[in-house]
Amino acid sequence: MTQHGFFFDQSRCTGCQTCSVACKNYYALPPGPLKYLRIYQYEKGSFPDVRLHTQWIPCYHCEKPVCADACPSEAIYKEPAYGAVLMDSEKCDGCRLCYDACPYGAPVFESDQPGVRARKCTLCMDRLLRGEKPICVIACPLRALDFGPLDELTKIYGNERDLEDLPSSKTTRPCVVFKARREKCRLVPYDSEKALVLFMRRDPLPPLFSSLTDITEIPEDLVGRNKLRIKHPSAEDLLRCTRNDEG
Amino acid sequence: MSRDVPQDIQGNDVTRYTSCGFHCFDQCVLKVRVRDGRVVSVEPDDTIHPGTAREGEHPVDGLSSTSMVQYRPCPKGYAMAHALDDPRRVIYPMKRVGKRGEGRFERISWDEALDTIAAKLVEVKEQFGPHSILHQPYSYMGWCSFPLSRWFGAGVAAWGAHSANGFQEPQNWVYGRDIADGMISLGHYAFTQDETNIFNAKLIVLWGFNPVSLMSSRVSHNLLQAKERGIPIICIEPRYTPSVEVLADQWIPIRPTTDVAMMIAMANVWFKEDLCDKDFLEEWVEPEGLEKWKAYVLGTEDGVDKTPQWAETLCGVPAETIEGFARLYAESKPVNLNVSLSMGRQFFGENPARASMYLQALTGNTFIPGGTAAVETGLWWGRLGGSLPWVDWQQKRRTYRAPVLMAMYKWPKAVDLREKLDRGEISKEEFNSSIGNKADNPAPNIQLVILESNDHVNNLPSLNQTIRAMKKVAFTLVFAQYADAPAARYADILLPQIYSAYEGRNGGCGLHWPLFTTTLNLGSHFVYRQKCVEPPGEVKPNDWVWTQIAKRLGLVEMYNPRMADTTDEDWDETIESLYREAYEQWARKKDIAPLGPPDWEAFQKRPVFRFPMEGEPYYPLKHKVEAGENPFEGTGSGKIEFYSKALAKGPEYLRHNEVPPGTGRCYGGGNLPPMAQMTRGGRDTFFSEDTKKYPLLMSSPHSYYRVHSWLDNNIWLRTDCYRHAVWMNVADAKSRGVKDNDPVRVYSDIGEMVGPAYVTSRIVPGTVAIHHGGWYVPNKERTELMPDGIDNRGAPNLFTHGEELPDTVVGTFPCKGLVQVEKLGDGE
Repeated sequence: MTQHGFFFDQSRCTGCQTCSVACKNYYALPPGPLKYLRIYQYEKGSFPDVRLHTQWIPCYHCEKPVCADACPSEAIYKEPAYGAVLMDSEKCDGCRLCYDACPYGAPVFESDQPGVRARKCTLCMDRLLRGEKPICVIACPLRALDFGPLDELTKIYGNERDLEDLPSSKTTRPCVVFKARREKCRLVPYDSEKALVLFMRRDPLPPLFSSLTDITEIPEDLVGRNKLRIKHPSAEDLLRCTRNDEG
Repeated sequence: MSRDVPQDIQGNDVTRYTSCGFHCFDQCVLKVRVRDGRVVSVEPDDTIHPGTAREGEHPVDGLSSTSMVQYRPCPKGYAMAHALDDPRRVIYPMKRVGKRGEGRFERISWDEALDTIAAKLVEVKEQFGPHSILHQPYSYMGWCSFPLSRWFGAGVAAWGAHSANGFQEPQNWVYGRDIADGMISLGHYAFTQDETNIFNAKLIVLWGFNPVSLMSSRVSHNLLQAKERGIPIICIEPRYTPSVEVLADQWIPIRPTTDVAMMIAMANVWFKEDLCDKDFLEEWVEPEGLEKWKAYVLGTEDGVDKTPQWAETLCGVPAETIEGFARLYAESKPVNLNVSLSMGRQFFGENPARASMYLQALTGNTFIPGGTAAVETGLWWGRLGGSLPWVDWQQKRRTYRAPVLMAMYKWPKAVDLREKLDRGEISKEEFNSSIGNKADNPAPNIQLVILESNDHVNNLPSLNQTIRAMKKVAFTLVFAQYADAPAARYADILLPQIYSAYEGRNGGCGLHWPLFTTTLNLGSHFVYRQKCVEPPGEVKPNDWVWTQIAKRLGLVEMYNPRMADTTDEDWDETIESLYREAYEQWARKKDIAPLGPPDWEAFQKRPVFRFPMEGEPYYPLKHKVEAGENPFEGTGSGKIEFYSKALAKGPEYLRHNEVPPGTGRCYGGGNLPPMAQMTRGGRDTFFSEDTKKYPLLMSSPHSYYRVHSWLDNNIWLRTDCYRHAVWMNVADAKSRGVKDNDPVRVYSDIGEMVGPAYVTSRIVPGTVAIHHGGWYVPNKERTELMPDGIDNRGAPNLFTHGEELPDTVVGTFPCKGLVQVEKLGDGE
């Protein structure tokens, strides 16, 4: 077996969801929570020192697929040619133990109905067998993705196997190489605190807010998208977390 | 419907290639797999470098410098395929039952629809004269887009454009030519740049420009490549957009409607620190006007020195940042400044438009490799633009030229005000002045409105005014895919609109996208849009509709002579043969033949033509420079002008239009300063007195998931990808007790909507954003303000003023408005 895997360049990802939509289109998946590939956007920091984070989460086809270990029906197996983690849905009884086990929430379900079978990313096995790359990889408008034998990917892109906010790679050894988002640089000076004072005032009209903490202190539940949450109690929660606000 | 097994390719699958072709800046390549007459899947461009994930990037060899790379679609390209057999779609001609706005229709035959339309055209023309028929969205830039106008002898033309308003006239004042002039007379935009021009820049500035949303494919990819090659990128923007995150080294947040102050302060630094390009100024800038503006900037006239300290309280950008940015800009030649047209689309929007042109002139960046003329949102029309294959429809010479009688977006006002004119409550001069018509022109009496392809009810400023207009006129004809699309609700006759990307055969005889499409921002390729599937029901191409109407009016030999006798069965084949003829003639042209275009049969297998952009990229006005001609021969002085002598004549100039500059035709009762200035206050600006009542300035940026209002109801996008929400800053949300996803009420004196809040630190305080193109979907709650119901979904044009924009040129097409937001109850 030649273990294949993905490369994800977070510094190029705009969170546009093209990969996810192309995947759904290609596999005729209905609109809704059945997302083999989920895109998460969330912000960190406070105005004006804010960053927009993006995560690209398909199934990483782990070398240690804890989902397979957790499955009482032996429905999940490691495919021998590419190392894909595949699901035999006929065997699945919908117990969701695979979902509980997977740190990335890769198995997905059409609804919250008990017993509904798990589905998951197939690594585009049909395409691989025809010598094509996964649909998500060739769909990315900004070329943030790549695919190939894992050792070749690490030669090209390095061996960064963990990404900020994602679960540690140690548990399951996901077959993905990352390039992290870039740090911003200050080409010109910018004093954030002074900016806040300026943004507070609208002279000679009344001020916009009364204290800088109105901006900088953010109560836990005020901003919805302020952390990465990839395991969901419900289909609706999955959808809410994987939508962005760019539309 | 869903299944675990992949959609295996089957033997009888057919592959087709197409491109979206609606009002998008990109024209990506869609590979469509069709089985048994239905679209099975859509895949990205594989017509070059098939199977490659990151073509030409290891090492960075600059494949994209030649533009010989794939043109990959965004989610819209895939999602549109699902709309083809959407059960909600209108697939038969319909006529209204009940009142306009109720949205109740019943199916009629094509014969009944076409007979009704033909009869109404005749009736309205007879009763109200030739200036009573308006067709949109393309009656603009001096044209009338009513397809039969030229022979039917009726129709109204309009000036201005959807996008460029606010920037178009300033181009005339500063450069002596405008975008329409460039388009019409040169075959390409004189001010444009090849996509590869950016690689010659030392600093790229995206001012209010969010390419990831607007030009998500090639332009964004090129900017990313530029960044990865080490060219610094700065975004000056009220929002922290995905473009800021991925493309920018630095974000400088700024309050909307205050950009001009920052630009003036930058010039102040340059004047004081002697950082201007003096050689360029001497050769290319008219000195007297420059001195006048300099006096304004330095305050020698009015006593106000427009320093960075002066600007910071307006913009919210610290003075040290403005200084630092000004210095970096001055030392980074060439600077590729990409400005957003939205800056021009506000009260006195002509000021930031002019000032951005000044910035490039002061630093000598206007027409050099890597520079820009700062007139467009990176509107990059490359080399093929002027030489696409075009079908020769052999239309007959016109017998009527529709006169330009209004600004293009003023037609609802022309309808709304007409009864006041008829009752003698206003004079003809007042009427004309307020719609951007010349005082002594005939006053249009619009009684028949045709809306085809862009939802003008939803997408024009002042949505409620447009609704009033749609209710007042004698007859309305709307083409739409959905009966609940905002414009469709006001149709007397509703015709099904084809998805021309997939269902094809809209030949382009009228003013529709032809089957050959290229991009507004890239001319090094074009796509022949192959027909993938038959349209459902009785959906017909727009060309077919107008040809049938022309037959009923006895005009078919003039409008579409080559298809006058074409039967429905032969329609596709005839279109195909006309396109083949156009292609073959094009391929023989002396500038095209050396590029080696394949023969028609070979081309049909992979119907995308591209050629490498080799050599020095086009930069603004390059053709003039190379011909040794003066690019600014259109200004009085033959140089770039900072001061408009015409505008200095005051409002009388605009009202009477003594000197119509270019094709922009700025008429109206405006009182614009003769040079770019910062004006505090004024309608729908950050410092308006109206903020006491409506304290939040709303902007309506473009969405990633719609083109205008197209695809707003596409559940593959709306359910899966995004939430259409009201962006609010943390502080503004806190003070209103609003948390993320709470339902909020947004209102002003002209509109009201409800929707969820997106509470974020990604937008400057005191502002909200609602993405453009969200549909007006009324609920049952009817009020005086919202007679057809309060908006339940989020159409930002409810809050943009179209009816009056005092003291400015009538042409500006506002996309901002002041609102108040409050939490709507609890829960839900």
